[in-house]
Amino acid sequence: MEQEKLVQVKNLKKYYPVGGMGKKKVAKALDGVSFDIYAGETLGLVGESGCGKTTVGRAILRLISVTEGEIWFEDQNITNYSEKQMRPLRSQMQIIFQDPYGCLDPRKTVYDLIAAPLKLHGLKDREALRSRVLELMEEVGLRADYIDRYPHEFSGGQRQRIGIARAIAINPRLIVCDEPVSALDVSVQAQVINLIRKLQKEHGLTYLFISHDLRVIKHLCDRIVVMYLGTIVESGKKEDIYRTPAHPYTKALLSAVPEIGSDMGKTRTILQGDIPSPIDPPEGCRFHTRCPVATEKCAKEIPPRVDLGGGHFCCCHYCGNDSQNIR
Amino acid sequence: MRHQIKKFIRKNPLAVVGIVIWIFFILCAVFAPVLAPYDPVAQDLSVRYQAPSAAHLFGTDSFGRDVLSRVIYGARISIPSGLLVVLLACVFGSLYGAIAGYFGKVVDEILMRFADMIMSFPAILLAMALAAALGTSVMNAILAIAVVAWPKYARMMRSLVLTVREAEYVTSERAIGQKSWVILIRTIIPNCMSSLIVLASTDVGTAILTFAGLSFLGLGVSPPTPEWGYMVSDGVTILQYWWISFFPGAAIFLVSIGANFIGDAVRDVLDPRMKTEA
Repeated sequence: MEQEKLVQVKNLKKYYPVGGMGKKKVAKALDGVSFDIYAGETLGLVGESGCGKTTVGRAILRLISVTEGEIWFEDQNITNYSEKQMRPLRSQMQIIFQDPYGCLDPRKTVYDLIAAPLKLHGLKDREALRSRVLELMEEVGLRADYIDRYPHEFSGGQRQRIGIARAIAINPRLIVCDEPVSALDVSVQAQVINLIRKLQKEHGLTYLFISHDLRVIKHLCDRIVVMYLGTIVESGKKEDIYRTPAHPYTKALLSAVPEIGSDMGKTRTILQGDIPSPIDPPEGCRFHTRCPVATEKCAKEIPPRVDLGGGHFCCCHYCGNDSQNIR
Repeated sequence: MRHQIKKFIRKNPLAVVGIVIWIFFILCAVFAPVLAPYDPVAQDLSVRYQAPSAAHLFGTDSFGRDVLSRVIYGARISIPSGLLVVLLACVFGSLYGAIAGYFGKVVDEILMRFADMIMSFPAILLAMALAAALGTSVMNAILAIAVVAWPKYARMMRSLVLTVREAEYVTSERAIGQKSWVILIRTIIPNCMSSLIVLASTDVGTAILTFAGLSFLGLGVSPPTPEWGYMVSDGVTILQYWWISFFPGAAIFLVSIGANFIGDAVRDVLDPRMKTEA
């Protein structure tokens, strides 16, 4: 059975102009990213800081414009929609932000913050608004008497709950979770993650879950996309990625996850150096400068997208079971 | 209610000082005919240059007019004109700067270059030219000063908006589908207000002094009318009779500093982070 594709991202590119006068350089934040998000699933987007994860999320919500490529939501190509055309679609797609301290207007009360999306999308009656806000607050685990308080009176976890209530208020289909727990304490992380999970079950939500924390991703996601320096290096079902990672970068990421008890005897692949600058990305395979198994070929040729079966794809010269890819 | 007032006094003692000063001067302005011991424009050359005494608490000026009465009546002109100048300049300038900062690019370039053009003129000169062109009257002088004062509000507001615009909560407003001008008015401007209020409150004194400058040149109030700034400049050439300048000067000083104290308190009251639950 063919699953419904809620979002399709096709060859997405986002270049930022850098440097002033004369020399025109661009930072390639995204350089040809394609993936689909199926209705009802949680797609994990993993990668180091600066690899373009957040840019992808914002581009899908059309909070930033893109240089090239297409974004489809349901059956509409929204790539070049204006703010006005996007407005009705905003109720379908929402975002949970990374920074619970920055994403709430310090001058608005919890009521104002949660009621705002409701008002914008048609609910006008004061009584109905208030009861709906209270309902949402209960749903995300905020006490009703917090309703007239200001964001600064809350802890990070509680603020994130306000942000979540705001995002689910208008019953969206898709929520982009942009590292929603990375700014929180570990103990609070678990609570918020469980809340995010619970809401998915109750509302049939689709998530694009952006994170650099592989444990969180493993816990939440059905499928995973691994990004490196503006490109996708590997994608596939969670089980495939965790059990049989094909790309050396994915292997390195997974080996870096600390696990209690099983650490003994585990060989870690430690990546050397920093992520290269997106202004002058390496030629050939972008990962070759840090890849433990790189060869000359990697420095010259851009690796093909190899189908490993079962929706598992990898962009590496040496990952395939296909003999022509193995020298 | 009483509890809240007590708390306010405890938390903002300076604001209370500012409010007391302003109430005092506003009362002076309102009840000037009752409070002033003499007619502020009546000349009596037999008592000119009299030092402060029981008969003339603040002394008399070069025409033998009672300085105290003139200071009291002066509040009627100086306070409203100072406030009005700041109000006009602040409202217009900040909206202008907010639009420039928020919409950016071409809009920003055009709007700010025009503001720069106004700023590049010496303020008092431009105000003079405008006041002269508009004709001598208090209202025209106020307008002229507001016209030269607004660009600094525009500059300030623009830079504030540029910072606030990048905040995540603005992106969050866009994500729920808010219209851009609503975001500007409801989210961005309120978050810029605190710095603006402080600037405006420090500006009340400057406005009164600029107004004085125009009056001195014959472009604001016409001579017999009592006005603080004019009175100060009247006395500076004859400093041996210090009281002629000193008392109106002190009035300007008190009103300015009072505005400052109030401005600080208003900023705190408007900022929810400064509120704590009782």
